[in-house]
Amino acid sequence: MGSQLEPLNIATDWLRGYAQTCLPSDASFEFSEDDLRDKNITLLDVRQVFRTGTVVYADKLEGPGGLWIVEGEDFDGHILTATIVVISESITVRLLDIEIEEDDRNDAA
Amino acid sequence: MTQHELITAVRVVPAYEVDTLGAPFRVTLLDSVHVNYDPKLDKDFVHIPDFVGMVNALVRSRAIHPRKLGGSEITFLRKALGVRAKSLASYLDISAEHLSRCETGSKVLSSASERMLRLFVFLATFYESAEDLLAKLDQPEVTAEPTRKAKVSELGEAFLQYFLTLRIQTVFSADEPLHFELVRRPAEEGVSPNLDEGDWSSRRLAA
Repeated sequence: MGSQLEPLNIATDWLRGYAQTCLPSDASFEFSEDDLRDKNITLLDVRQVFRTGTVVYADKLEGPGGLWIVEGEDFDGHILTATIVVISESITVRLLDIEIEEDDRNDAA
Repeated sequence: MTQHELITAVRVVPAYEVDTLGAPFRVTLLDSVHVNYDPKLDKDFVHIPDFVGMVNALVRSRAIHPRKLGGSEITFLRKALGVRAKSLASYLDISAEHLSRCETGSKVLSSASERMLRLFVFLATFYESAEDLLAKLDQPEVTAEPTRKAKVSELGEAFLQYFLTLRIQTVFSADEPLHFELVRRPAEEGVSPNLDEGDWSSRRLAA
């Protein structure tokens, strides 16, 4: 189901690059504000996951439509899992879902 | 499913208030944010162009606003730049414990440290990595590359305009929350209209 290690590393590098300030300004990001509010996760948390996380699943690495699952930590060390899709050639990334590990949620509460 | 149902509805929001950023002040994005309705998922998706550029513009806006930084604002600025508390404390020449207490509000950052912090966060928005910039300040052999948008002349003007004359306001009404409005400037002439080469900036500062 997942890709091999090397392509996943490439994907992670790309994603980290996306989250850095050197990304092209036409690169953009879509999210559901209701999802983030419901889970008490901020956009800065999501960006931090992109910057430091690892792509654990990618069904497609080139072109639009690739579905990736990224795992990483927010600033407080909570593990977040983000499901994203690359929806256009101009590097628009849509956050489909994001989850915080149950243990972390309880710790944070 | 009809062709009509396959087309997602896109609308531009005249004034989009970003309450999912985790910012301890109000942030409104003017005439820049799109909301796409996805009928398959039955969800609205918010589209912020150049998200990182927007965050950097917000950081700069707060760095030059004279109101004294509160603890939650220090935390926000640090997280917005992706800087570890330990690195920032080292740069400010204070202990990590003291910075932590300042962020939680049990201690207050000295004026000298606050000026250093403001200078750093402003400058860091022009660099690819704020952590690398901090490392470079300690170890000149470390490489820290500015982004393509960094211009020495702009930085110099900003420092002259804002920081050398900055007087931090320590007395203000808590009933007047900070509110930043950001706009996306259009692309310079000669840039293809198909590319969004614009830039985020603060339209005005309201307090």
